Amino acid sequence: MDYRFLVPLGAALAVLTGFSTGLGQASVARQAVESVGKNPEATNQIRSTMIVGCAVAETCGIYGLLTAILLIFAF
Amino acid sequence: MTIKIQKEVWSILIVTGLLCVVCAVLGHAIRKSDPSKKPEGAANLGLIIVNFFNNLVNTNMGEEYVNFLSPVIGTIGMYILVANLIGLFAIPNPTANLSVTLTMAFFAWLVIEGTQIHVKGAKGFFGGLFEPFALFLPVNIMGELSPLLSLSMRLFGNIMVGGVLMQLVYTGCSLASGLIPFIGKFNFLGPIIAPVMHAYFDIFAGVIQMYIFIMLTTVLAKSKADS
Repeated sequence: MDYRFLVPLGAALAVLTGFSTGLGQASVARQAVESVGKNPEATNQIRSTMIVGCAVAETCGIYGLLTAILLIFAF
Repeated sequence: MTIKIQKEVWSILIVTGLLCVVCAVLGHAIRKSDPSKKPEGAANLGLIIVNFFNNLVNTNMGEEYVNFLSPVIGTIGMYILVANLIGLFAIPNPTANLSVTLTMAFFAWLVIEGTQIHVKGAKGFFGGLFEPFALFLPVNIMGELSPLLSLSMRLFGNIMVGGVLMQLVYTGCSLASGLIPFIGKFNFLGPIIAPVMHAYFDIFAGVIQMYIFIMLTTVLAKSKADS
């Protein structure tokens, strides 16, 4: 039997990593907003730190996307 | 035998040619301008670009790296910025091709490793691969190679997904406006909905991704060289 019909399902499950990535990035942004409210004079430093934190948290979701692309194009 | 040319090849050539012309014009303007007076016109634009990258390297890595790394970082950043924004002119983004982002990430990786070797020396760098003891060698090698994958896939994923989503939006708009009789042949929902999505996926995501790319390169180089 040909099990190729499971490939889109696997790709969709791999992209589901975006769920946790979204939650993590949202928590990063929330903390950044709170700290800007506490001391507004450090806004620039907080912004650049937040962008780096978001980018590192995004890596997990990007790996999920990579897995999905590989699944779709390799099979 | 037929050679299949990917559609991004032409946009790569267009972006490269455009940047060559712009850099030649800016360099000519700066060379001609009088250093004792206020810069004007094209020379001013060139100074703004150079200052932006100098400031970024200065704040993230420190004064001593500015002359050493700022030209490489600036070249990578300018190419990625123009390649992300050129999608607005109905040209396929060069950065939606993994070959381009992998090349950019390779140069960023060379910057990261080169800074480490420059700071620690070759002996310190290759000795550091065996820390804390020799069994950690494969893990450390994977750790050195991982920025190559994560940097290239982040840029590629963001820009490619933006293009795919824009295509979905246009297709959905034309389907939805096709439901209306008589005037449905003309896709009039597209020009209303698409500009907002273009502003997000092309302009916002493009500029943010370029900033993140050069930011992560400098931060990673600094933190790895110091550890």
